[in-house]
Amino acid sequence: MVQINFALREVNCKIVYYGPGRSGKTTNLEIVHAKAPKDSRGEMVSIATETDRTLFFDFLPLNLGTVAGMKTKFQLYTVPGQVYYDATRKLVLQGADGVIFVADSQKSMREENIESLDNLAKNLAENGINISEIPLILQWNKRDLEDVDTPEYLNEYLNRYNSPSFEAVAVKGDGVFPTLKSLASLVIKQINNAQNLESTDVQPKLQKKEVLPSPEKVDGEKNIAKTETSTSMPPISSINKSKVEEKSNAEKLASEKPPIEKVEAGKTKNENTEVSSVTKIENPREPQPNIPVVEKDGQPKSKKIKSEETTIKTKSVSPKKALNPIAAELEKKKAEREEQEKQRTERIKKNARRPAGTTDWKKIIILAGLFVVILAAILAAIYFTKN
Amino acid sequence: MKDNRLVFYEDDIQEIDKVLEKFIAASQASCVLLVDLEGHLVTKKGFTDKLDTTSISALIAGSFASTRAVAQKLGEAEFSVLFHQGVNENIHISLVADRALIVIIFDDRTTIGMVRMYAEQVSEGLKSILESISERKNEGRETLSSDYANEAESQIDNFFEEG
Ligand SMILES: Nc1nc2c(ncn2[C@@H]2O[C@H](COP(=O)(O)OP(=O)(O)O)[C@@H](O)[C@H]2O)c(=O)[nH]1
Ligand SMILES: [Mg+2]
Repeated sequence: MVQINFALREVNCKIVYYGPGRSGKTTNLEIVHAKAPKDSRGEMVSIATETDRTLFFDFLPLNLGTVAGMKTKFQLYTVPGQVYYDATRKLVLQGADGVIFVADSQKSMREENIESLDNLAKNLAENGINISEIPLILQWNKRDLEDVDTPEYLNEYLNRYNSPSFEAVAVKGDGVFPTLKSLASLVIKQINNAQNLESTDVQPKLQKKEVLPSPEKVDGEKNIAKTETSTSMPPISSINKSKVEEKSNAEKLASEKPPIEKVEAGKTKNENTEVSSVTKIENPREPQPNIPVVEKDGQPKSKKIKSEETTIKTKSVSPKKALNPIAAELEKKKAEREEQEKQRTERIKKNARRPAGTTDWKKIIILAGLFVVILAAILAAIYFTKN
Repeated sequence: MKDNRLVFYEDDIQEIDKVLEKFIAASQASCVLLVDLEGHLVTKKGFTDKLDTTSISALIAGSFASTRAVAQKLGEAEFSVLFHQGVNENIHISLVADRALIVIIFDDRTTIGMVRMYAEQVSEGLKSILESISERKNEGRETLSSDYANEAESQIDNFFEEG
């Protein structure tokens, strides 16, 4: 489901790479990560097994740039391919806006390809998506191998919905971008179509949860009733009632609790200026063509609330303006928090584990060095005892 | 497939932000993120400068989806609250109105009890906001500009230019 956020001025789309195990989905993402301009992509996150097989998903955020005043972002996911992980695959597919099906072109993989495509249709349906309606691109990967089917034959046996298809050698990077490019345009077109539909149609409900028709269709009306209740939340109010007492106690506790203040000396203005400069980069004052409001100093008037960084920054620059008690509170704790942020950054660095499957050369060199020294010592000892 | 977009308008987010701001001040949590179930960030408050909120949002949505699937295997609708405890940081995740996750990151400046209590309040506040958003008709509100698709097309051409 596309998220259009007029406050962050962002359009977010979810793209999923699907296909049988080892067809090259993770490789596709790695290539996109390597080829995309650095400032437009985030870290690639892989939830993989020890042996580098995808366990849950790979994730790569891509920032296409600002389009008509909206930052347009694609979030790329891959699914684990093995049959065993079907439940996981279905989860990753939730809310997908487009799918790239990566097929292994080898003749020996025909069955796996078909099985995976059937599985895609099934899992989309279970997520309330019709495979013939979602933007779908097919990729014939591993064209470099010997015993592969022709693209014509692959189209014949796998292209059921008349989707665009691309040949690829993902390991070499061939065909990876054209595939994604084609899907990206399909997804964008879909957004625009939905938009045009909307202007004539009644506004669609926000994320109405799709519920599959229940198997017993005896009583139609009952079914509808059931569906409706199952979409709504469990009654929170009833849960809360039982907790009222506990709550009021806790509230007392909260008001009695003295504010914890760890004094962190040495936080100077320098840091504030540093933060503001970072903030500037993070909040470029882009023109906001969609807001019909006069802009002053390039700052749209109607954007009272930008991201909170901006708010805090402004307040730290002119503390007299911080009349709001909440803002004052925040202000007071800022230095302290910054110190903690620093510590956190250090922890993140320290904990940053090397990606699975890569070699820890530092360790190896140190061990090898140690080994050589010990060997030399032993040889020397033998030499001296013999003489 | 008409029902495939989740739209947040600026005044909606302002309203949500107000609730979250109050929450931060009251609970002493370091930050709070609101994430939709697809893993896209909706809004954030508190000290998030140094956090990779994009990845965190995606991973938490994945983790919530996975936990929910486990719950269903046990005959539960879901585990509506998840809590991860670390040495320095803790995360409290709760589902609101079946469409978004409130993700609270906190440390020893506060306690799980405080966070849980205020999280319940915030959840009620957000629930009514999110529900009124979904029930309201949005005719005449801001939409994507009409050249969005065309502009995106040329942007896509640039982006994927091989070089
Ligand atoms: N020969 C060849 N090998 C490939 C190609 N693309 C990926 N591979 C290899 O196929 C194996 C599985 O790739 P991976 O991306 O992990 O597959 P996934 O299971 O779909 O994520 C890896 O060893 C890749 O190096 C390709 O185009 N040609
Ligand atoms: Mg993989």
